[in-house]
Amino acid sequence: MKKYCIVILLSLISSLIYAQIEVDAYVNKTKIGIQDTFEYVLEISGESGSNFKFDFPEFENFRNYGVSTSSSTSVSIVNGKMDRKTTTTYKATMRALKTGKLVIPPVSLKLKGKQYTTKAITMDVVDGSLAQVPPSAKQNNQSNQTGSNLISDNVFIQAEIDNKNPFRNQPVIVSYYLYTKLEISSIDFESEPAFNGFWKENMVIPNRFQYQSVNYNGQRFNRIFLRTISLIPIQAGKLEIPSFNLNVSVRTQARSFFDFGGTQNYNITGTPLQIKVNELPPNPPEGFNNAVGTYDLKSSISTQEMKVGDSFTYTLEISGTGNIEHMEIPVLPEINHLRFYDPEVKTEMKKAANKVTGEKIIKYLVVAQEEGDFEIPPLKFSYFDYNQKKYITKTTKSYPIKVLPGEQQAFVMTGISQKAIGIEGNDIAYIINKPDIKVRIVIFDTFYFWLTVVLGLFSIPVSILFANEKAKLISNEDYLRQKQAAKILKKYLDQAAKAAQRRDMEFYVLAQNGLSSYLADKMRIPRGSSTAELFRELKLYNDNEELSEKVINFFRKCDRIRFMPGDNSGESVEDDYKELRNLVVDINKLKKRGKK
Amino acid sequence: MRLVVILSLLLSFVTIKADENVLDKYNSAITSYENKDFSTSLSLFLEIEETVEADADLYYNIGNSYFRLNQLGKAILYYKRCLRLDPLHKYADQNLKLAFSLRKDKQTESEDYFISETFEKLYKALPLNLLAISVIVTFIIMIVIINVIILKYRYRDKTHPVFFLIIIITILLLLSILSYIKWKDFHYSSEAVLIGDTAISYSGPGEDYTRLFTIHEGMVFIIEKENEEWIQIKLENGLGGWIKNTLAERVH
Repeated sequence: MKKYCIVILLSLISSLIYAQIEVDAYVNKTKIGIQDTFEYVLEISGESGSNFKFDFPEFENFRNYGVSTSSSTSVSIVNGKMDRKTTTTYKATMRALKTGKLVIPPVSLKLKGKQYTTKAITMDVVDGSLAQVPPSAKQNNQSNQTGSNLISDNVFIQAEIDNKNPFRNQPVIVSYYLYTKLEISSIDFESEPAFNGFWKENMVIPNRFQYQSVNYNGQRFNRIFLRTISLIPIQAGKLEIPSFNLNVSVRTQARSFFDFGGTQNYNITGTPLQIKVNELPPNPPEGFNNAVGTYDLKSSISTQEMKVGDSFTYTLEISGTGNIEHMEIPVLPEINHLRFYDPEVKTEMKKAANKVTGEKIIKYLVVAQEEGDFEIPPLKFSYFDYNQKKYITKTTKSYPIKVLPGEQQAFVMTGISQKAIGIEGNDIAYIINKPDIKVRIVIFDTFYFWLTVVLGLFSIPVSILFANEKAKLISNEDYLRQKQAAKILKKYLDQAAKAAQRRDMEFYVLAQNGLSSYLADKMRIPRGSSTAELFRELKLYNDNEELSEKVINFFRKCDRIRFMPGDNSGESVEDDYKELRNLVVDINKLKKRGKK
Repeated sequence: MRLVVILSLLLSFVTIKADENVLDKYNSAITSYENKDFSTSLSLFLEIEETVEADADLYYNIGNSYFRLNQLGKAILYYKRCLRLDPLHKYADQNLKLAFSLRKDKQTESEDYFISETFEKLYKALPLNLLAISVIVTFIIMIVIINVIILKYRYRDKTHPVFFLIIIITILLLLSILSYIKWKDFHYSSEAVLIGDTAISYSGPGEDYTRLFTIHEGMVFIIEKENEEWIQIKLENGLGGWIKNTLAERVH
């Protein structure tokens, strides 16, 4: 029992949630013409407040002209139970893009977690239009004459071509007109068709469409000029010029008091034109650059005399009728020492209704690179005249040019095409055939390197000591004298030694002077002090009484010999020299007595 | 002129008179190479290598022999050894580049900035001995300037000599740092080349570790750690792992 209850409850809940939603899709007609539009309707009905987002799908082979959405809510009360139902309708206006059996695929959409799928619809699409001509304002007047209700007989595109047998590269002019018996409210160009095998150029595009009443095949039509284009066939043979594709809205007339009339859309395509393009005659002359038409050639030059490095312009003007925009420019010959830069090409087209005219101005900037007389040779320009059906060659004047020496040389190299050396293979370099084995010395690891460093560093304290010594000498006179004392003594001693060798009495003078000066310096007393002073200072200066005595005795001996000559035979000179030397050695050893 | 001669003498190497035996061997090795008997020339060159101390050209020739015998890893190793001794060895550099281009792995070098790249090039191109001479010359100039300042500028304005001294000291410092790095690199470089065909790198010293990457013959890397069987390597692009030590050989 419990189980049943649960099942019922579940089904009730599910029915509450899902049961009411329905999705349906349908069209207003299944057999249509390719020019006709039809309506595709997608209807979703369900609970009120069903709120969802839905992107209208795109169908292959069909074109969607716009979707309108509407929503309605109905309320019904059955047996006291209120049912609220909301229906959302998507109405799309569509057109088939090709003929045959086409299928509008099923639409799948997800609502409240459940997937809904519509049925596929098969459309039977035939050529032309099955639509009945709507009762239009114009048509009412002419209904007797038309005889046809088909839209394709009442609205069509007609192309007019000026030449169905052009030569290759000869422009042909094509004008498109729309013929109609109905009242047209708007014309839209569909995508531009592809003009295969042509250069296409728009010639005239009207700002607004103008009606012109014409007689076509015995019927009265309104003709609307659409546009004129020029086409330059770039290949020979049979070519097809496609027609434009138009979307035309036709205004319908009000049929009753309540009908205000409306518009109906039709898609109209003209029939393509077939043309046969002739190949140009063989063996074109020199200077032919695919120019077809009738042309005039002019040339001019800005100056004919200049200095080296100056520039001038050389202008070519080609004007006339033909494929002026698409022909190649004439090629200038190479002239040594004149550098032609890439030309500036300006093409101006005059848009006339029935022919392509214009002019091409080619300006070369030329730089004179060297002095001398040069000539710009005559230039040949050939074109094919389709009226006379033959090639015509026109020639420019030649221009002599005089280049004078200039101040500055133009360093513009004439380009020589160079090519990099192509690598053809890759291999290692050859072995080194030099059998001397070398052992590398790492200088950082050598003894001499570090010796140099140490010696260099050692030189710094040495020179500091040396500099200090020097400074002492300069600042201290006594020290200087003490230092000099030895030198002076040495000088006297040398002289004395020589005198002694000669056994000259001069020895005693030298010995006495030298010794006294030496002592004076040593004891820091003024030089030239008397002997008595010297003796006194000597006794004060040191403790060695014996030495002092010896010095004093030596001095006295010297005095005696100096002032009593003849007393000495000179035999004792050498002994006295020895005594002097001993004395000096002893004095040198003397230490200054400690401070008193 | 004399200076140039002295410099070039200092820069070059003291030529040791190799004994006749070695010279004969060298000549016959070259003859075998010329006769395209590369395995003979290689064995002869290797014998010479055992007896003679390091020589850049010898290494270069050994590298060439290995190259001819399709032992790319060994060839790269010996070119590297040659360039270690003589960074300006043009042919070795050229051949090394070619050998690199034939490796299976593309060794992506870490992208350097322009300045560091230039510095590195300069650093690589400067021979150690040239640096040594530059250092000693600058050092002597510095000592001379110091002594001149001490002796001659004691009681004079010292601005100019001190200015020069500062410049020289700066140059000397830079050169010394560069020299030290280079010298250290020269003696204690841990660069190595993969001489085995392929090497699988693991995340640790053992085959049971995670497999990291595979490198092929001729790859150059730095040895970071070493144990009995395994070495920890680091590639130039920063990848690291452990490989068997028998597969690699140190440049130095």
